[in-house]
Amino acid sequence: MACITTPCRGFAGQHVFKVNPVVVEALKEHGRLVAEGKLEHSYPHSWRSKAPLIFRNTPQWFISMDTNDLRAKALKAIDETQWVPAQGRNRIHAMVESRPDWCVSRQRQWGVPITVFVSKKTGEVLRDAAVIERIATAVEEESSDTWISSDPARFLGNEYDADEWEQVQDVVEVWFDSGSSHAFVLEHRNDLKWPADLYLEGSDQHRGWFHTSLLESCGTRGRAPYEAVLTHGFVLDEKGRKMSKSLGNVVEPQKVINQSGADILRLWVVASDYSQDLSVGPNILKQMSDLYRRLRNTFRYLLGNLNGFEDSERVAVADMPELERWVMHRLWQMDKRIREACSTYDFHGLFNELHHFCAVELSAFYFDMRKDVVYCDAPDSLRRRAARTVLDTLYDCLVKWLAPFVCFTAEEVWLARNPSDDGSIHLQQFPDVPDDWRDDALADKWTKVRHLRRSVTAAIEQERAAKRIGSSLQAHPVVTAPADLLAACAGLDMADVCITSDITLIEGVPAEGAFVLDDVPEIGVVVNLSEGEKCSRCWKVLPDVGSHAHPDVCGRCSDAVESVTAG
Amino acid sequence: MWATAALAAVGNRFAVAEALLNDTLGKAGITGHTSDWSSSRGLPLPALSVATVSTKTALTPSMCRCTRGLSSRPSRAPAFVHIAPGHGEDDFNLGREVGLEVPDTVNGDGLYYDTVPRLCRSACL
Repeated sequence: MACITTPCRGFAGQHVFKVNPVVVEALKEHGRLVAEGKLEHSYPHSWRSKAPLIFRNTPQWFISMDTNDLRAKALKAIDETQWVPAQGRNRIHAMVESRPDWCVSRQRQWGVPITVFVSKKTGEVLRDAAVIERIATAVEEESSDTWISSDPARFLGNEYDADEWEQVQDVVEVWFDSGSSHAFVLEHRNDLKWPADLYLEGSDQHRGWFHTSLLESCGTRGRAPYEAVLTHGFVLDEKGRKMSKSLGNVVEPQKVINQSGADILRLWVVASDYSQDLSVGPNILKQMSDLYRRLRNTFRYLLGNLNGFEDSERVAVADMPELERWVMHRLWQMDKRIREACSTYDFHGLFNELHHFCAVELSAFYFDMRKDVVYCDAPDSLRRRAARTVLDTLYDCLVKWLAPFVCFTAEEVWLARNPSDDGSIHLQQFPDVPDDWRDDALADKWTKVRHLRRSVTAAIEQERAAKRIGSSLQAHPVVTAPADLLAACAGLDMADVCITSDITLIEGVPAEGAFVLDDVPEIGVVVNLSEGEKCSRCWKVLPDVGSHAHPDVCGRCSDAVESVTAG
Repeated sequence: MWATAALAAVGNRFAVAEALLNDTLGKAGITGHTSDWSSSRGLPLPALSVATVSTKTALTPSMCRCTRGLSSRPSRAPAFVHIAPGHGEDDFNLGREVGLEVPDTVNGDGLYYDTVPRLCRSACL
């Protein structure tokens, strides 16, 4: 039963994908084929060219996942790492748990060589500390090309016969190179520490850089090279499509910077939820410009109204009016939120809150309300001094909190009050916010006050829209509300709070015909006109205008003018 | 899809799993056969009908082997499974599982090495 080789057809040198008919013919020729047919089945192929892959079995170098417990070490390291967003942990855990041994060799002309000798007789790797040291020194001092260009005898020395050892010509796969970056980037620079605080890349890197860095570091250092890993989505156009040259929907960062400034681009980054894919395009960038303008206006208001502010003006928090203490409480809350957001990398949520704080709570509420006090009170009035103290604190907190996101604007704002040749907002730490700014009871109370205010403001807005009044200062709203809401407002100048010249609060249910917000049925507002003349200084409409030392002004303004003139 | 002209010659013998006998005969265009159950004794797979001449289409022993209990169609197990550990991931893994040698047959240009054995006339059971 010996093989009959001479008349046999050989397949040597034939292409794998072209050989099938030849095999079929050979089988037929030998009477070995019983039936012939075709089966359709899936087959691995290049996603780009659609060319089918050719399977080859070749000897390669592997790093074992289990021989030295690399898998167990890596899984433990995954659990000791902070993953942002949290589902990243499961993704990489599942990959490491089930991955095969790591094939690290490649047959390429370029790359970092695998610098080992293999015995031609036994196939064993040469494990000799002196040889390895000679190789390492040569590579370090010259370059990895030394491995290729040097005579192997240089490394083998006199103890080994170069003819008996095969010098491996394979290179290390590039992912091993990038997986080693933690060692050469972090370990040799004094201004960096190992392990890194954070590795940050797209979510595709659970299979790439995060993964190979983890394995490389667990294998050589016994732990992950990072404390935390953050992954973000991919940048898409406004319609959620992938950017491509052919679609013409590519947004180039440099163009955005040239057109709108780097701060707008940074704002877009921080305002986007990076845990998902991120959309960008002209409309979204326009929204960012609007958002930016609101922040800039906040700073402009602060800078303008802090002109000439001195420490002697400062008022202790305990001596401030309720409204100012409410702002301080909100700063205390923001501080907690910001510190938490920074440690959890929740910048998207953080920015939303900061923006809401500036646009809604400051611009549309606190600043709006306190304009009268800041513009019209006498310089030494306690509430004006308290308001300016709060503005100064707001300035300090906001410029520091926003500095990482609007770098240039924050620097401009900082230097406006802290002129310096070498100083910078970016050399400042976040502010220390003391716990005694916290006042939960006051916050609850002011939630109710603002609840009532919202109905009044909406009622006045309707009157203004109908052109029955021009400014809210012409109004004298009569508000009907439940007892608990009125109790919250007790002791407050609610006309000031609502930016009206007068106000009447009555306990009860809204009268027929009163203005009622759909979602606040318990509060009714009837907007009457305020009685009296318009103060030419503060524009409030008050009965006492004209009856004071200074003509055409109210009592408060007359005194203020007096104190300014006297001062 | 399947060739209708019978390639098998009268007198050929095949080892066929009982459950697949009719299907196999149909596809091979074999219209008459005799079954010999006694020949199946001692073989690793139960319920084998050895029909006429035993034959084998393997290129080399390591490229094709009969392994107990492996089937690409579990509902029809047991059966013969032809695998080529050098030509696909599933086959590679299966081959490793049952300890088959994985031959190194294809060079970097997608061509068979000179060392690839030729088709033999001999049965290499």
